[in-house]
Amino acid sequence: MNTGNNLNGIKKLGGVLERVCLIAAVAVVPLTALYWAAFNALPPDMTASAVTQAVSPVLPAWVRLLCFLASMVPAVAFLVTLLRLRHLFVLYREGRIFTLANVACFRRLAKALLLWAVATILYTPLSGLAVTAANPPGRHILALGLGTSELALFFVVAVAVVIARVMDEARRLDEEQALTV
Amino acid sequence: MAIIVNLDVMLARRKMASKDLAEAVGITAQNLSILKTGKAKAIRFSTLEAICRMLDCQPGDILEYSPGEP
Repeated sequence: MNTGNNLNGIKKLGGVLERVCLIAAVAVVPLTALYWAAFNALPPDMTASAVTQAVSPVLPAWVRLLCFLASMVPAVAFLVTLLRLRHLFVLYREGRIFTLANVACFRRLAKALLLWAVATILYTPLSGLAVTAANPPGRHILALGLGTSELALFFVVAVAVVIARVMDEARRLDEEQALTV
Repeated sequence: MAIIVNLDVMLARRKMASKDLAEAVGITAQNLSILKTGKAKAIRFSTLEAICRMLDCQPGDILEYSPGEP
């Protein structure tokens, strides 16, 4: 594949992925709200993880509101990650691949991923407290856990940091190449 | 940079326009401007050879080392 075709491919795919990120970002909050609003009517497979902690499979509205607020912690971090990722794809769509803006974008993306990882860890105790808020005294659950998904996210953060540094080197080489007569 | 490009001086001595040199050497006017203004990070031997041939000079007539420059 020659450079021109490659750049065209990057622009085209960048445009598609930018739209996907935008649609996902717009859908995050409404879908989370919809999930908790319709929680009591959802099939058991979709509510199993929450229902096992609560004394009743039917959650009152105020508990679902608390659950929604707890869910918003990782959801907002995910939203920020999607928007940062979208910005990167906007740059790719415009054909900007080795600029300072790309490097800054990768750095911001790594920070957003870190925020998402931390928010995911925080979500476990928050959701436990929210789901069991209506339970009788002594039956509230405060759980704290670190699973493979959180560890995988930290790994992705490290990868993003390395890619940001590689991109910075690429930008330096690109500038040098552009100023070679 | 400690390397100073004296291309504008040589062009003036030869009474040649930048545009004509760029055309003769086979580089863009923009690249010749980068070279003249000292923004260039490097120059290819082939470009230097073409410039020297056109201006009938040595690389030392175009490039100068100045230790005092940052």
